[in-house]
Amino acid sequence: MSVANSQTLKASQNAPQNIPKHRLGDEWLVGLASGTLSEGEAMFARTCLSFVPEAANDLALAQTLGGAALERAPQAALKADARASLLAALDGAEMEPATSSPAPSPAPRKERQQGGVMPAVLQDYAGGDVDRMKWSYLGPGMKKVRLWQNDKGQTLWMLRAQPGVKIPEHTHEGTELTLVLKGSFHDAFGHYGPGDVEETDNSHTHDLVIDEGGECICLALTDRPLKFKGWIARAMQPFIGL
Amino acid sequence: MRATLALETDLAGAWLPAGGAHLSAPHRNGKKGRRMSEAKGTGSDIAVLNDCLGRVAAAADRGAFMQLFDHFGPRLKYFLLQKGCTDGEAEDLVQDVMLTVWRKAKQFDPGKAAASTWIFTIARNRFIDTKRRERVMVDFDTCPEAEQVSEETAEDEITQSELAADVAVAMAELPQAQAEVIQMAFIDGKSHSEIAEELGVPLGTVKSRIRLAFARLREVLESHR
Repeated sequence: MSVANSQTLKASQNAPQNIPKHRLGDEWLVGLASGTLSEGEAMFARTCLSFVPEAANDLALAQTLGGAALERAPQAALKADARASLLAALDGAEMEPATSSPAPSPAPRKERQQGGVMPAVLQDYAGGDVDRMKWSYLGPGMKKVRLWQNDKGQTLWMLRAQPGVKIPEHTHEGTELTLVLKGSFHDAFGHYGPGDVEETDNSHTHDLVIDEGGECICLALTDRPLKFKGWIARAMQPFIGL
Repeated sequence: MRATLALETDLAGAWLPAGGAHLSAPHRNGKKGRRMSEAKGTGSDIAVLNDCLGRVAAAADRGAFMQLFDHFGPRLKYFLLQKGCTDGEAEDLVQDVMLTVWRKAKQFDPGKAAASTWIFTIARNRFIDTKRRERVMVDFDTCPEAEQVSEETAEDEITQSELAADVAVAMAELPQAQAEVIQMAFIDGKSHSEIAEELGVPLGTVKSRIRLAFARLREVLESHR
């Protein structure tokens, strides 16, 4: 137990080197490359990928698939003058030099903390690392912060839980995805450390236990509000605000 | 000129909508272990398109550019119509995307992607930009966490173009149910749950079809390492 914990702690300090055992399914790469994810989903997927060493190759492969799909796409006839107007437009279109791509990536926000708990991509989105987040009470030993929510109730949020905390049995109407950023937890489906992703759907009811040895910080994406089974948790839910 | 003709005829079979035997027949490669990009057509087509883009970059070659337009324009329009653009919007966006291709041609890196991949990415980003569906731009060129890795594993130009060719062949050989969901995601721009709804299958089925298709592509990628 203590060996496992020290490994987990070490892994969390070197998150990018830790190779996640539980990966996000490849359908998320297709989602990213096809641009069909919601903002919260895209952010979740990109944060997961920042733990995966071969993420660039994976994304490039998914994009190659997009190119292949375009090649296979049916054709829609363009207006008769489309060619002529494009040719005319070329006269006023200056070609950019090979090297200068105007602001290829947004300049890192000044809040970004090197070696923080949250990967750079998530820090840039949320405006800093965990210490800059406005955590609020979720339950005993648990805090949460909401990063994004859409009109369908899909929510991207973070959970910060103390070691040993047991998160009550809960079910999901949709799917819930959890990415460990720091620390580790376990449940009926396995053990999850930094970079690991757990996906659960409405067929699962689960208890989740934070491992001893350090706090656990997770990024979660839920389709709809969680439903806790215990009556205390249920009574609390209106105030939790997830 | 000859190159153009070869391109148009070789791809003719793949223009039709997904479905039916015509998709797999022309490129099927019976011999196991043979490099797929040697299969007739596909590899040279990708090379021709990459070459066009190269000529645009090197010499502002309008002929080569219009060759790209003739090839991609109608496909881009279909793609944009599927995403819910009106006919007018789609026409405007095709012009816009092609102008971006012209302007940024020198930034095209054939070592990183095939022309079709690059143009698809521009069109997709341009569309996302318009619709603001996703605030987070997803572009592997500007994805810092991805870039870090690509330095170490950069593949050379030939391999990338071969990879694109092999991916095209692998796509054509996918079971229809898998090819369909890939096409619906990339071209129709549908989310996984929208695909599930439209096909009347559970969400899990859509996901597993995409996973299976992607697993096949990983095998293709492995053969390039």
